Amino acid sequence: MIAETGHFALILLLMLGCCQAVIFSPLGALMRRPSLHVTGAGSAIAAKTGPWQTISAFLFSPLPTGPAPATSPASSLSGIPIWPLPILICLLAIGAQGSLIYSFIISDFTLPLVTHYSHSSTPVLYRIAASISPDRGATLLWITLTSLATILFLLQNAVFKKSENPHAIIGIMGLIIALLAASVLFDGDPFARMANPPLDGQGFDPQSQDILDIFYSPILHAGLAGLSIIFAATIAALPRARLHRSWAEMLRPWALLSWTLLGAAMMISAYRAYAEQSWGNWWYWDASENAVLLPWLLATAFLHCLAVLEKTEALKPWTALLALSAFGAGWFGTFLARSDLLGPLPASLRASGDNAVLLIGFCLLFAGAYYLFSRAAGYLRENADFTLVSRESAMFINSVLLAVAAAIVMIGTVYPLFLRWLGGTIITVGPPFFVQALMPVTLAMLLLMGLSPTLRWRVDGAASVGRRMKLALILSIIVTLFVWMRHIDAPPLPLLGIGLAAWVVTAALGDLWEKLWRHRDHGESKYRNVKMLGPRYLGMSLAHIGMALLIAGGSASSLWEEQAVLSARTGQSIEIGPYNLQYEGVSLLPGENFATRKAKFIVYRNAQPVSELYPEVRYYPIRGVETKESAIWHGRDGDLHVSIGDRAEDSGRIVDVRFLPMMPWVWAGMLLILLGGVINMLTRMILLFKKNGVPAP
Amino acid sequence: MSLSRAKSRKRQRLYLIGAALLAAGGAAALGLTAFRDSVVFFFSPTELAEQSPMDPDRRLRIGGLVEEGSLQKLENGSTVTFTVTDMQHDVQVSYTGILPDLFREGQGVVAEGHMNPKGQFVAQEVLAKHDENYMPREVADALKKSGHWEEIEKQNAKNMRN
Repeated sequence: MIAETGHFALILLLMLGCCQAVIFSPLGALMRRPSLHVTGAGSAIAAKTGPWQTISAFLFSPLPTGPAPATSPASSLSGIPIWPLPILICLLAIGAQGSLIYSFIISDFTLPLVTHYSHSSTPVLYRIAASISPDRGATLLWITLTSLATILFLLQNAVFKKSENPHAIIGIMGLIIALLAASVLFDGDPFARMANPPLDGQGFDPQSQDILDIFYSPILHAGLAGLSIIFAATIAALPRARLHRSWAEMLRPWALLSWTLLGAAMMISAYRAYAEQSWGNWWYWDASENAVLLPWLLATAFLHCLAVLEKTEALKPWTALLALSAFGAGWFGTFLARSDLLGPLPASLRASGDNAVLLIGFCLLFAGAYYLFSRAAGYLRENADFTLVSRESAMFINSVLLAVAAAIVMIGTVYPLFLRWLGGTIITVGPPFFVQALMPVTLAMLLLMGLSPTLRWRVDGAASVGRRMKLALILSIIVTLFVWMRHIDAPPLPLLGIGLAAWVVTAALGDLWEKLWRHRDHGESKYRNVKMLGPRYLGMSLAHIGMALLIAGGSASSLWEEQAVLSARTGQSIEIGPYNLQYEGVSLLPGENFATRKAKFIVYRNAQPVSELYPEVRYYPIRGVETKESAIWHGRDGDLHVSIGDRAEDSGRIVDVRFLPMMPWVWAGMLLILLGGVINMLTRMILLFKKNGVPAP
Repeated sequence: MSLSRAKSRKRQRLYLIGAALLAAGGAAALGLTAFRDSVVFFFSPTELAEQSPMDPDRRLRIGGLVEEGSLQKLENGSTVTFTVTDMQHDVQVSYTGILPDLFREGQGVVAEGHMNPKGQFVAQEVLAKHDENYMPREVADALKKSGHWEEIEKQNAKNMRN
């Protein structure tokens, strides 16, 4: 009964999403010729959607307004109450989501989805995870979060009144929600029951059974929901060519939010791949990893261009293009990660559909969006009067580089599929391709990243830039030379990476120093100077330094990684890097729904015990699968990564020990990037409320 | 007014087109050079037998089913050998390290490495980042080519039901 309620809620949601899309008329905006006259614009929208307008006004307005639309068409659109439909949709989405989660919790095996991803012995926490991470459940979660984002946008609009035409944005959000709901319903209905249910399910995927993994799906889809608001706001602004300062201000929190969330999702997936022994490295350029990296790269580029637009009203078409593409990449990546293009599904799963509707929705939505963009791009007026040496131009070039990086990732992910589809050879595009192709782009990006925060807006002199950057340049050359002299046979590219990372860090710190201590204008107190920096500068510096640490750590750990694979006996000691590991044997322990063989290692450094590590081999009887969970020690000069395997032939146990120097820098860098985003958002929020006071309810 | 607007529009379009071209061209150039050096081709055991002897320096991927009863552990403890088959031809694989979670006899496997002159495949990596019900795409294609896909599929479906 609960499942049927959810099913009904989902169908209702699809219909209401369509209603919202039609009533608030993004279709009208699509068809209309872009016009620059603001007074004409409103009436043009109303004129185009005239019949719908009257019908919907008749159906949905609380008061019978009579022939109002005919007399003042512009005001009729804003006459429709904007709140009821999104709230209704949000409630329905939460209802559908709740009923799916409930079906998982009570293990209702008449639902094929539950049978496939859950089992009566699966712990409740992972039953909930199973309801939101695989295909349909995840799309349903995407819908729920998108509808929540719509509500959040309406709140923002009610408090700050930044958006010019919230109606059009709500309409496009309705369209997105309707397309996603159609994908859930028609690609494979999660609420459909089967006639002969099995006695028990097939269990949750053991490799995903981890506390961090639970957060991955919600965080990723919340990021995508944020991108969809950006997409909708861009589409709404394009036909009137109204991409100006207040548009950018309105979108800024959304860009920050989705950028931070996508980054967090990537960090989770990186750490999980690192801790799960069989998944290889922390970043493997796997298709599902690239599916998140693509929108993140484009969102990063968008965030920077938005800052330029907000400051100087330049780069409008490019910013709009990035806004559309970021959401497009997110949607396409999701489709790619879920489709059977990367690995054919077994026959029993194939019945559940092939994500065709998700793909059709993608094509329709983005064909329309790019068509609109191509029509409207020429009409975007802006003052692009910045010179080559200026902060605008540095940020613009960097955003182009980010787009190039995204294009390379796209090519590497899609090209093998394309080749296979042509019926030709099967190739693999692995880490070597991505590293080689992305390296030059990344290095150029780092070079500009150090430079651009110190540049002035609009116009700057090359000579004065040189004077300002002198110290950073010298320091980073010293660091590079130092590393090179200690490791004379190191390959040049990672060395260059380390040097450029040093450049970014010294440039950022130097700029901070300059602003804090040498600023003459407001030099009354140092505390005042800190306050003058502002959230944006603080967040940006943190994120830039984090990125530099990430690159430096990644380069160094790939350069100086040490690995030992051996068969160890109890009491044996293994030497690796500066550490000494003592193997203390394996004990068999029961877990919640698995049995685990837990090994104990004591970590020594200079004959002093510093930590104990417990790598495991878990056996999940439901699926008959073993997973190997590595244990990791984050030391001050590197990560110690230990995993165990089977019993070896000589009655020892296979042990895989790796020492990755400077790997903690990678994790610290990722955390700093996230912290930069969070600090930027939080301080902005605090400042806004301080200024405006808490809004009355 | 209209003249300057047209001019600025032209200029904008110019820089937009320039940026797009630069992005596309740069990505294509970097991608193509990287493709030339670092793309790894996939071979089924049959294709490997047809094209032997292979250049031992060439990195390649092979895939098929792990033959039942072929998994052997060597004396030094950490090296294993097994046979990969597409039901027509076989290839011996040796690998040093911990086998991935989903590695099992009778199941699909993909390995990356190179052929040694003795005709044995030395794997640097054995890949299995997939659900245990999913067959690696390459392996499924290789089995389809050798004409043994149907029976394997049937067997898998039976295993899943149990």
